[in-house]
Amino acid sequence: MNDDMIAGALESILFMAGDAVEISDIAATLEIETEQLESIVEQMMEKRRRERSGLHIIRVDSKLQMCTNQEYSHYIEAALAPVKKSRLSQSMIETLAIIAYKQPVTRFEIEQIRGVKSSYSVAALVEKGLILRAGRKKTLGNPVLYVTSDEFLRHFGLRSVDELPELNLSEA
Amino acid sequence: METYDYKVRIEQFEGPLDLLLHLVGRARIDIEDIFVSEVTGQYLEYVSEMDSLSMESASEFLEMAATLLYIKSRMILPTEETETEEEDPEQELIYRLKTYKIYKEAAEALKGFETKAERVYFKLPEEIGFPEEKLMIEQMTLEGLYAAYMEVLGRQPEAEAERIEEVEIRKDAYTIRERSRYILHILNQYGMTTFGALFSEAHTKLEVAVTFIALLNMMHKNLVSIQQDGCFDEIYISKRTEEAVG
Repeated sequence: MNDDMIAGALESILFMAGDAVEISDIAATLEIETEQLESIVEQMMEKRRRERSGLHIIRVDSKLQMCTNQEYSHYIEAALAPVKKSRLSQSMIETLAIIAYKQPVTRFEIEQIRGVKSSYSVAALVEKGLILRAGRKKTLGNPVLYVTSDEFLRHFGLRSVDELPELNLSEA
Repeated sequence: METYDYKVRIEQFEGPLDLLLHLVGRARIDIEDIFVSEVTGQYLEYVSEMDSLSMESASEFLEMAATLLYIKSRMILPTEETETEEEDPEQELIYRLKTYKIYKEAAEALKGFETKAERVYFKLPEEIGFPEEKLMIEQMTLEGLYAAYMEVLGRQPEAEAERIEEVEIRKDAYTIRERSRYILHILNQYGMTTFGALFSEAHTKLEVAVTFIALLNMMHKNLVSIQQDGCFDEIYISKRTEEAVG
């Protein structure tokens, strides 16, 4: 299997899945090393950007997913009128910011920082799939710990949480 | 500023820290200088105008007001050497404000990412249709299948029996009233009967149970008397006569 064929196989798998697919799973299917696949993927991404392709491949943590080129969003909206993505409310985005940087984090820890009850925001973020429950903290009351999800990365166009901008700690 | 203005605006804040940060920003001072500014006074003014908020958020704003008043009172009172002992509420609040500010700014940065990313569309995850599975029966003859089927049937007798019983016990097949009349009928006819005889004709558990309840009921009403000479001896049931009562 040469690189072109690997690229082709990968494209067809991602197109068919729609969802994000683990890179390691695809590599195993194609019987190649994950590193080799990753380097081919990088070339594909670059080629698609260069050619202003309508479909891009993005990385969602350890997964790959196909999406549209944002350059053409208004054409998609004009032609297909897809359901507009809703933006998060102020309380939800503040809550999410704390979870993103401090994960895994409990609701109490979030409320300590925000100074207000955040149960509604946390529940709404879970409902939207932007955060996940990830076990319980081994402390009094065993509170639930929250982490961000793949959907969080997609919602903000991030490859991984490492891409979050650094916190401005200069004033603290 | 009008009172109405306060009410409308206070609800726009995410909580007491958000309101304080807003006031600090408006006063163009550093967070550190909050206690030597008019910000705390302004905060208390806002909160005093607040009455249309829900109890939950109101309590959070009021708690902060109490903290600010406490800090103020400490500043007026002569300072004792308690600084090292307890947490300095001023420094603690300044720390909380700074921490909150950091995450509030991070949230603003996230909004920028959100706006950019909302122009990217994804296909809904596909429900991959796998070819339908066919059931293959190999190495099996028709006789074998028939034997297997009969074996399954043979395993069901208990369940079957139960079902038949259920059908037999129709709703209200036996009522206490009807069983009482039956007992009275027998007593009227023979004057006396035995416990065993009373149930000898019972066909089902339900009939036994209802007859028994009817008997208890009749005893309760002093309509019958029960006599037993010794343990496990026959129990005699007789009709109480008017004379016997009382």
